[in-house]
Amino acid sequence: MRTTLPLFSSLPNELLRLIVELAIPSTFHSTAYKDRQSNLCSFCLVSRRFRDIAQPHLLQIVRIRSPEQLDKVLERLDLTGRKDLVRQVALRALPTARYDGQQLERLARHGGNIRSIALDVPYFEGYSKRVDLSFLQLLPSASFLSSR
Amino acid sequence: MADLLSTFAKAELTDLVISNNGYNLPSPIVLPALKSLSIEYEAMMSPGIPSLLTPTALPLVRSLGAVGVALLEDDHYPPERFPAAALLPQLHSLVVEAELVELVLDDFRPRWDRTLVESNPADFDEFAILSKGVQHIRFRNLTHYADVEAFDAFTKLIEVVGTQDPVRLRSIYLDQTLKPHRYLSPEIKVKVEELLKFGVEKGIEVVFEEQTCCGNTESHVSHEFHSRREEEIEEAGAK
Repeated sequence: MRTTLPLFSSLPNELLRLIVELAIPSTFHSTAYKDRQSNLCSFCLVSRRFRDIAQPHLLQIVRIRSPEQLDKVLERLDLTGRKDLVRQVALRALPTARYDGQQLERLARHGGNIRSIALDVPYFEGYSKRVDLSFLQLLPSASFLSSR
Repeated sequence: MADLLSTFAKAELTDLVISNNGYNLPSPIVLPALKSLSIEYEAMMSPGIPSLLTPTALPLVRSLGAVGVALLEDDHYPPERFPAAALLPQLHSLVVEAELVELVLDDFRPRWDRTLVESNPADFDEFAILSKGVQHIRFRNLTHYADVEAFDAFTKLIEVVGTQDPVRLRSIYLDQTLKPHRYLSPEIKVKVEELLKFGVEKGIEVVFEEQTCCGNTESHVSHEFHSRREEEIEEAGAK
């Protein structure tokens, strides 16, 4: 049986947006990231209107911990077709992880709105591959039409 | 037209944190909008990265956090110079560890006003740098969860600074969870209040700031120190 929420249905989108934004940190904190994403997922389940507001926030701050996870994020960004969603990226790696240049270039091409990047990549000779930071220069610095 | 223009936002990378050592930079790049950089010493020593630590590559950087000198391998330790020395003249604020300041003192000596020195509360020997003219000191990872013994650092600090004449220390940065309130453990509250009282007597400001911790992807720059420095610079410019 579907539960209706008359209170929320009468509220304008601006207030719903405010409710979502006040419930989550606006910047990346490693200790709060999991709860942030979990709260957003819960909002997505409340109603279609909440989902439409909360879903873009899921990709606003992304924590990537492996090349496979980066691929998944890139696929989701491809599906949205938007280049203005991601604002902050925290990219970590295990010593054996090997991010390749093409992946990072794709991330930069999707990063029309990236303002903050945190990298934590260890290197062990024979096991790891160094991350080429040249991709940072590919982040666009041109103006774009904001979604808000 | 103005409304239309206001819907355009400038998308630029302004904050960058680089931890650990797994990087390279085959050819120099420019990050024209970067304002804040937090970088570990191991990363600074990665191939090609020194070319990034220049005014040409980072023309707008004003806030720098450079930490992790103790983690350097033997072939890089001790450093002869601060690897980001070329950036120092353009910085408004800088966060470095006490251990590094001791090693390359000459790079920092003319810039104590913009340098926040991070000190390990467990290592009293580090307080020796206070005699070199340090103006701003920060205890990091010292929160209301810490053991009471960790707060002996305050007693030692009071002892060292108390003998200075004149007192050069201007501010002490602590985690905001140490701000005295009714839920702070009484033992810790006593230590913090003792430090606050000493600060009032000697004209040293105790600043409670939001300190990030627990992850390598957290920045080491101090937003509180940086914004205070920006205000100082603005005021000095207005005079």
